[in-house]
Amino acid sequence: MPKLSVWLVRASLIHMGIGFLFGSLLLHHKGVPIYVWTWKLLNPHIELMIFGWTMQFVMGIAFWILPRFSGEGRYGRVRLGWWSFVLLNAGIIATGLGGWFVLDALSFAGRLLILGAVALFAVLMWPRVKPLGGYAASQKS
Amino acid sequence: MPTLSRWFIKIGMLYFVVGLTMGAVLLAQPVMGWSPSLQVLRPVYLHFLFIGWVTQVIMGVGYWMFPKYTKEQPRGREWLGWAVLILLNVGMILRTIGEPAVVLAPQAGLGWTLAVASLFLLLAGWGFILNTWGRIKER
Repeated sequence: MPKLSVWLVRASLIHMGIGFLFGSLLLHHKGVPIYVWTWKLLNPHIELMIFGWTMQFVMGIAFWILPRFSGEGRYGRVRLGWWSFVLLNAGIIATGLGGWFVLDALSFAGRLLILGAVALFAVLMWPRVKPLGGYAASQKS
Repeated sequence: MPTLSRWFIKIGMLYFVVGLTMGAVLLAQPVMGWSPSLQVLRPVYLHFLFIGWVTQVIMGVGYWMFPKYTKEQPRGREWLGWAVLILLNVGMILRTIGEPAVVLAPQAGLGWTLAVASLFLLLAGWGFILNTWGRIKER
């Protein structure tokens, strides 16, 4: 597994762990109330579970599994992937904090960071979605 | 494919089918004039799809496909994998009973089902992370 995938998948597991904790507190609160502020965890819970856990996990696995190039730079422009990783996690944290403190501007900024991350990831992965042996090989068969 | 993965994936598919059925019922309710109380299924429906289906299939495929932990324990601690499967699904069943019950019949005193479900689901999630962390590594 390439280093970027290790970081993406491990970060997704951290988000999952925190997302499950928030979800667990919310569920407990529905049945047996804990604290008044527990409901404020709902938006961060959704953010962590959708973007932090599921989306980030899929990105990590896609970077690992999708067809590679031959020779040097077999995973493509990896630098874009690292920027995508940083922007995605900064965006999730910002959106989660925006949800907690009810700061719409912070949530919006976080969402823009996530958008940037996803755009960079798409640019990185686009050329790797290709036939076995490249397009030239697919034309011959 | 290991037995545990097959259990995760097959149970996951059941959640997928039942979850989408719930989604159809939720959409049909206002159109068909059914009882609005059916809308209490919404959080259960969302969790059937995200936890019961997506997360559970990831757990099953991950247990099967991730890099080996060690030669002796290629898939980590198998008992922990089974514990995750049981805790996750018992937790999901308890929430499926408890979540509508606390809204529709608060006097029934079923709030404890959600408290227990919350603990089971948390332990399942953290158990999966514990068993998987060491397998996420460079070759």
